[in-house]
Amino acid sequence: MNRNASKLLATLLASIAAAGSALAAYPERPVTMIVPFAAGGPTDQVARIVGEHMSKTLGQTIVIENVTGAGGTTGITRGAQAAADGYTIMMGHMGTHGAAPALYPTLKYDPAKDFSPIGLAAGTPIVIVAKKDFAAKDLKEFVAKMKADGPKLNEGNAGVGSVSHTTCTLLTSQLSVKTARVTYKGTGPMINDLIGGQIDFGCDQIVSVAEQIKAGTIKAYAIATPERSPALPDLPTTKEAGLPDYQVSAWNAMFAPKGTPADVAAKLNDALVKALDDEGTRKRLLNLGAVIPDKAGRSPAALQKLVESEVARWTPVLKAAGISAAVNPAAATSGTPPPAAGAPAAAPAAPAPAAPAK
Amino acid sequence: MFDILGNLALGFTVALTVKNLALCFAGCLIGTLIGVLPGVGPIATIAMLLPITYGLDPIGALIMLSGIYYGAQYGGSTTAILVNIPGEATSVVTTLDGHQMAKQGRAGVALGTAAIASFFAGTFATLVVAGLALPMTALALKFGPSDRFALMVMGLVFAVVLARGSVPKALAMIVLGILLSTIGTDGETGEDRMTFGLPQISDGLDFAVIAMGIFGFAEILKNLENPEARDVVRGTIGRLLPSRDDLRASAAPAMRGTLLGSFLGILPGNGAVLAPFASYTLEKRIAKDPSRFGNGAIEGVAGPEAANNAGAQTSFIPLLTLGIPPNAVMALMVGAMTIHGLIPGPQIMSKQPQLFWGLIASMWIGNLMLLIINLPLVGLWVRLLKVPYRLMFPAILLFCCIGIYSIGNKPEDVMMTAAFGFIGYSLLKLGFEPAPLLLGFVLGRLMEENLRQAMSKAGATLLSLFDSPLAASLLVFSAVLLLLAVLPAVRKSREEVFQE
Amino acid sequence: MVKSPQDFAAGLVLIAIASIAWISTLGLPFSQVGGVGSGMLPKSTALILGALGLLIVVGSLMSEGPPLERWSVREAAMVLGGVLAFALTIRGTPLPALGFNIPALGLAVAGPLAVLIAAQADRSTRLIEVVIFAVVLTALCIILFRFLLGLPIPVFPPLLGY
Repeated sequence: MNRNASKLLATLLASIAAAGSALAAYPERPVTMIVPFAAGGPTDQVARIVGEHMSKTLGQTIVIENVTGAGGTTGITRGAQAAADGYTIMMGHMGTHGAAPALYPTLKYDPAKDFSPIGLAAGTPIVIVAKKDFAAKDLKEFVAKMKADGPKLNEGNAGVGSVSHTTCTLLTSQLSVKTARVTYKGTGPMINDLIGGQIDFGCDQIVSVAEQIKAGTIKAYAIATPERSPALPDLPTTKEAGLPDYQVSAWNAMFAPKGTPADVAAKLNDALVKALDDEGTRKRLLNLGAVIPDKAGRSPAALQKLVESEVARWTPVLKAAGISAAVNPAAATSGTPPPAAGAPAAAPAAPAPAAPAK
Repeated sequence: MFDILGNLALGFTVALTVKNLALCFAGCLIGTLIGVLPGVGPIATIAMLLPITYGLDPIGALIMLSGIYYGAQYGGSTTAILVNIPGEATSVVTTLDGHQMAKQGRAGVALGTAAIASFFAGTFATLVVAGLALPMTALALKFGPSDRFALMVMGLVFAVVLARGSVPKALAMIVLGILLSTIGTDGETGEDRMTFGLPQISDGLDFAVIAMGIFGFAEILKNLENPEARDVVRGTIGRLLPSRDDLRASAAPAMRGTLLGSFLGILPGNGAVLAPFASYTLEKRIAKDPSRFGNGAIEGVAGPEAANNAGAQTSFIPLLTLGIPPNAVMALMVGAMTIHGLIPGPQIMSKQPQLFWGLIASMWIGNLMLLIINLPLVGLWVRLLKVPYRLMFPAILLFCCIGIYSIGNKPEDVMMTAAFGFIGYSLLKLGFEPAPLLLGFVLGRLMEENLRQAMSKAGATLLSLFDSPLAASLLVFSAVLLLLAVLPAVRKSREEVFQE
Repeated sequence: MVKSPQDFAAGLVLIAIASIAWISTLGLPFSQVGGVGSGMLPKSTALILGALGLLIVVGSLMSEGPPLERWSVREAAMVLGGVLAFALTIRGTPLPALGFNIPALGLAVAGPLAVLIAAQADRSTRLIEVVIFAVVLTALCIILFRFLLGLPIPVFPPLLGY
């Protein structure tokens, strides 16, 4: 095909698409929600549970598209560059919209500037866990033990940039200790070795550890939220147990590309709020150990504030710990060109590499 | 013992409702039909079909999902036998003799043997799951990183034994596979390893991409080059089901494979992946005439297929007793359970006995369904070989493209597959075999993970790899096995040199 | 001199791959504080690969072996070209170097394109037959994957928007 003809074709097709979407009321076709992690993981579950109810409100199906890679930043990069028409939205996460700027020096989006925030969907609290015969009976003793023999303790994590890795880094940096870090590929194998007593402790999302804690195959010291979780009512908070500064949650929130029309964003936020008020949806989210944001916490403005504060919090912690994906000069210089007019962005180049967050 | 019978009876009352039977049947059937598409391996199949179970009640959804799982596994073996494209690591072994059998007009026999051996293994492994789940879990938990490392080293040595042609060239392919497995960001340090600035491979290479490129596309090109050879395959179809002699020859290998698979399946760190080649290696070692292997030996299908299915079954054990997924497929199952509000954990057996025993009963029913569905389908699959190749290969390509795209919804993956197709074709032209490369790729990654876990522990040194008696004996055994495999080749080439 | 040209070339290729791997992992540490470094496995496998390559080259000088095979350039180009065409059109691809972008055309275009290009690899292909086949197969795939299984694979974005 010669160059002009193809340009013409692209413009023609794009204008058909644009004309179509400008006329009718949003949404008049299925909405794609990019989930930047694999199907079946915690973020995917939140997205599917919330998305199912939102589909009812919007009157159009929300199609979940799992675009994995580079700790979730591959999918979010694609979403950030998609047409801002409300037909492509995404489920962001503490990693993609908080830790990523520190982890990926060549990140192609700015979590605070390149999105129209829709609203916070759920928080998933972090729990400090240890093997069941670990010699510390509560958080105070655990902290003392960490300070006394940190380097002799084996800390499990699910890979660079994963939730367990960043949140444990926050813990060790607040305590100013170093530990022997044992890396796994994902949460499953790490919990397996924690049960088997091969490693000493770790930090992870409540959904991955709650059942183990209840059964007593591993033990937990504290949950890093202001209030106790109904999933583990006996577990003290970090505030109660003597480590009040350790507050961390792997939150999930919905974003649209920057420039999404205000009425479209409002419709999406409305659908999200309705989903979070629905009894069935709430029950399923609570079952995951998730914390459902209150009314004030669901607004786009609250989400914007959260993103800004999270980036400000993670950047110094991760930089000080010297954790980052290696700078990749070739990836840094080969910028992704703007997407074809009207057409959704072609799969863009991913930013610098890192292990997937699980 | 009465406990088990009572529990199994409870399980069967759950699984034998009309609705659950129907779901199990539907799952097996859909799993087989999607899993048989080349380019769509079991993980992709389950990920694709996961959402259709969301509307069901938890037990029904799990029963259907396990049906899908068995169906997808068997569908993958079918593709491996018919068109020589493995959908996952474990069916690489099936391509070796299964496809050779197909080429000799024994596709039906190979498919039937695979189905029957799988059923036998599934039945045995279901009993293992029912009776020995708890002691086997305790045993598996004793495997630390250094033991798993030693196990993977042993697996790599098995891969040498699988080689059909020259030993140095097979070794080179295994090593190349290990090298390829290290591409991508280092999971421990975040350093960039051999990505050459390509962000597409920063997460490492995907098994399906390599398998499809190196195995699938290269196979298509090979067939296009030899129209005569491919038409010979199509011309003769032979009998559809294994004869009595075939069954007799398969019985002992299937039994040995079942035992191996049942044990390896419970190991953390994806030990099930070792089962088929451990079985193949064993069969080849004890065979009276090892040269038949690689040329359509039925033992090379029966043993590994049984091992594969037994391993697939017992790999449910860590999930059911601990709530820990031992591999990617099981991780998907955890996701499915969680979304239905069942968070798998150590208490599932005591708190939800209907679910636990219902699932075990439906495992066996699933295996039975698989047999019922697949024996009649053998005729259909074999007839598919009658489709003219000029139409068949573009269809295979299209399914591959869609399958690879669906893994991560990324066109870059499809491009990578094309690139590996070129690499695979070049390797073929240089006389290399693809199977050892794939095994090196899968095991190399696991080996490195476990080695680094063992070595990251506080106070670890290289010598501490031998602290565990199990790890030490596995490593010594591997070294001996490697010498046995390599020495004859060295001696042979030296003789050749001296002859001149 | 070279008695087995295929092995000779194979060995050289292995040595080349090993050298590339070795050079590109030069900066990675073999070991690190408290563990195995990111460079240990790539570097040691590159070394072994190079050694095996050398062994195969030496062997090819000593014992007889098969000659180099002829490459089927047309077949390879068409088969891999079909796959590439699918990848480029399914979601569209920006091609800044050439000054234009391929629009996202979805399975409705990428499917038949891949089949038609790949089919050119076989000389016995009949045009009308393969065109009909491509259209029917694509239609079935769209129904199966997008509508029955609900996969988020684009169908025809220019008209449908997805």
